[in-house]
Amino acid sequence: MTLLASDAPAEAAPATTQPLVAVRDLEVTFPGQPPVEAVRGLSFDIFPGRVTALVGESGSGKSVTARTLVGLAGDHARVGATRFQVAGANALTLSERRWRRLRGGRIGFVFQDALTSLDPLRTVAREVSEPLRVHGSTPRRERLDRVYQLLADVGVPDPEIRAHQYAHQLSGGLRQRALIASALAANPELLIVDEPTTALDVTVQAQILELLSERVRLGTALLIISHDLAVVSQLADQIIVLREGVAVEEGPTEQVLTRPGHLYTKRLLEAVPSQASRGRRLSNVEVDAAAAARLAGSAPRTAPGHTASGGGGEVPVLAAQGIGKTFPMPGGGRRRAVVDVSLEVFPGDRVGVVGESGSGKSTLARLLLGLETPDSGRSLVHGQPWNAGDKAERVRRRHSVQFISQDPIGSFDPRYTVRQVIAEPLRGRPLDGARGANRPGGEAGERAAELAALVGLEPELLSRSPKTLSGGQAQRVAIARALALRPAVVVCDEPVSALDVSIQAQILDLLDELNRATGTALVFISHDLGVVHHLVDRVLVMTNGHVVESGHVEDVFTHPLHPYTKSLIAAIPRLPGAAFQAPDTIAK
Amino acid sequence: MTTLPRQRQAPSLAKVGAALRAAPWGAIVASLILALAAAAAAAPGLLTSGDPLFADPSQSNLPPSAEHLAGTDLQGRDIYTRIIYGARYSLLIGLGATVVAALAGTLLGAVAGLGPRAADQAISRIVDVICAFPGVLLALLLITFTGPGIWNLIAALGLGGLPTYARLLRSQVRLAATSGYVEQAKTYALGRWRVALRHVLPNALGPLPIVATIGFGGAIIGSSGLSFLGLGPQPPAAEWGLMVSESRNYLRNAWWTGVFPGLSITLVVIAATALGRYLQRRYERRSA
Repeated sequence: MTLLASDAPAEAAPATTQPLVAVRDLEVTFPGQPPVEAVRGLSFDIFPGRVTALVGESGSGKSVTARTLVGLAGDHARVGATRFQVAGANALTLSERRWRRLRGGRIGFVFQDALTSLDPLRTVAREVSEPLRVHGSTPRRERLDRVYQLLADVGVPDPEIRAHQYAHQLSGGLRQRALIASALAANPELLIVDEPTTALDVTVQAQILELLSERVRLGTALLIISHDLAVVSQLADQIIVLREGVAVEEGPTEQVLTRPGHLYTKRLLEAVPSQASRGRRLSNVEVDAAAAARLAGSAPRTAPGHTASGGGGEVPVLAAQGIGKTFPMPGGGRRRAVVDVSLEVFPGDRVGVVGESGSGKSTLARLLLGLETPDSGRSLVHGQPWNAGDKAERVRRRHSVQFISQDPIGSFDPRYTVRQVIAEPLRGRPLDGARGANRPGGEAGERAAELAALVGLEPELLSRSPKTLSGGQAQRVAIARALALRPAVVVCDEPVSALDVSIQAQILDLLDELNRATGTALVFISHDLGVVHHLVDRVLVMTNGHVVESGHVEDVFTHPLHPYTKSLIAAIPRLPGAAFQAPDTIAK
Repeated sequence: MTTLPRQRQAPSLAKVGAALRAAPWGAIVASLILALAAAAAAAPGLLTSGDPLFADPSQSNLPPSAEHLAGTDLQGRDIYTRIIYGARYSLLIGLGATVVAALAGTLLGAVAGLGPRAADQAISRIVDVICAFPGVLLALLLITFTGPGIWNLIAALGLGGLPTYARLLRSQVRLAATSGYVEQAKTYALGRWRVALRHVLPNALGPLPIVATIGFGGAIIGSSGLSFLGLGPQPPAAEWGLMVSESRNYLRNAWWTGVFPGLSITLVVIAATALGRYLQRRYERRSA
């Protein structure tokens, strides 16, 4: 890529030796009690035509660094550095006016959230043409044509139509493209993108990454901020790994990803779930198998550790038979969310459902959970439909199918403590064959504490409000609650998509261990093919409400038959193989 | 090492100053005013030794003095004493109307939010009709049929205040009913009633005290206004709105006969509103 940079226009040639951004010992502090040192002693250079990646988990200071580079660290932030050159100017002494001339002009910036970064009251054309207007680079009459050109360049289909639409009329991918087009409008020398593909489907992500690398080939310098090492590995020449505001490792991409020097980088790489990580633990989570079986072992007729997929003559714990659901659309018309889907989940199974947004996988989850009534077909629990039998039977059926949602904190009553949240399913029910119902706050509370310990929650969290929990802690609470009723199957809808990779690794390991120890089957719904490949045995691929392919995960992912599956698999960003071919060489 | 003993020291003057500045003074003053009004309503004898109805024509329209703190009215009654005794009417009617409106509104709103579609439609349209009348006009209309008096005033004002609570509860109940925690409760087979009582209603009622506090102030204005028009307690009762009404012909010569009762209404209403806003800010910060 460095060679390509020299093919760039003549005026860019001398700049290759001169960094666009040079930062030495950058410190960013936010006042408070105590002050938050978001970035500490960070040094790096950004060269034209090169891609620098800032990688780290939430709270690592990567977004603060990016914002500081464009003078948007915030009013209260204290920024210090021994050297801080941005586009030839000393950024420490830049006035707000001079910053504005840099931003959108010589530096393009794409924020993380594509929905809120676009003004809902303005058309795409107005948004994209703003840098042209502010920086006065294009005469008014030519602006609209330039906007069409920019939108076409970033791969927006029908730019003449799309330019006159509003943000809410565009899909996530198109919004992200419009933002990139707006950032590129004034032809900046440096493009900064913060988590450019985090909310996007894998095929769209691949297109955005291709678009960005196209710009780099044309000589633009790129700073990409991401938590996703696989995404970064597709683009970056140089990687800086941040942790708690400190660069723990930096170097050429190849070196950082295949021969990481720092333990933290190694752990991050190890924590990435994929085909290669199947059957291997991603983190250091330990689960007390005996306690798991005692507290959450599913119904006795299930042999613990049973992992048969489709055992002969056995009744599936959860099944869908030609299930379908159609929703009326606002303003007439109907949308077929799920069409003729069949699946069977046997005791101890791990079944994955993958698909992009809008593929109907969440509706399928609600149908399986009996929260939605199907228009056609049936969903069965232990061979019985949800509404069959008397009340006691229906309650038992509910208890054997539990749910872990994408947004655990939203699934907790805000007035409850963690202990109450976990104990709630047990409240007023007999525990372990005891006769009368348990007293509120008594046995159920103790059982909640045991379940919390099982999933690795510290006891002092029990009396806290769930709102104060971190994402990983909240998901552990949700898991503990889901297991409280000894379910035969737990349906998980995107349980790890909002988590950092190391936390995700812990939750995946936890689900894995609990599944083995308790014999509770898992239905795992995700857009992340790496996660699915790592965890499940059987997989269904959904698109537009249809299951286009299903089977054993290795067969489906290594020899996909359907063109859609093929395109999905091809779009997965992959880390350089070496990091995984010899996982044993990575020291714990 | 050196910082440890320093931390044990008593808080410095600067810290005390900062804490004092950070204290919610508006809310504290508002609470004091309301507490004073409540004390006057509960035990007026503690705040004055006079009789609100005792008239001494020889003492007519005397300006404020040491003997008559707020002066006297045309009949020579002590205005301070009448204001203290008048607190009972204003607070009783304000509180009564708020309780009626909040109870009936909450009930209707909860049924509309949780019940069948037909119930929702019926309740929502009735609430719309009530809302279409200006509050005072509605109260006037009702009192025309029922006749003046405290209890009729409470009923009329309560009915006028009802839509606010009904709409609030309906939307809050809907919000809670579609939340993740209610969805989750269904998956462990909690019955409809259990879900409603355990999760939906407690979470939906969160903003109710705030709206009720602000509504309380509005109800006092309403009660004073209707009393001013002669639809509340009848003379010679010491009611603030009635006192303002009786004073209006003599304001030029005896300003104190109208200003002090009017000031009492204003203070109590502002205090209720200020306290309500303070509670609202706290609630929003907590739920954010």
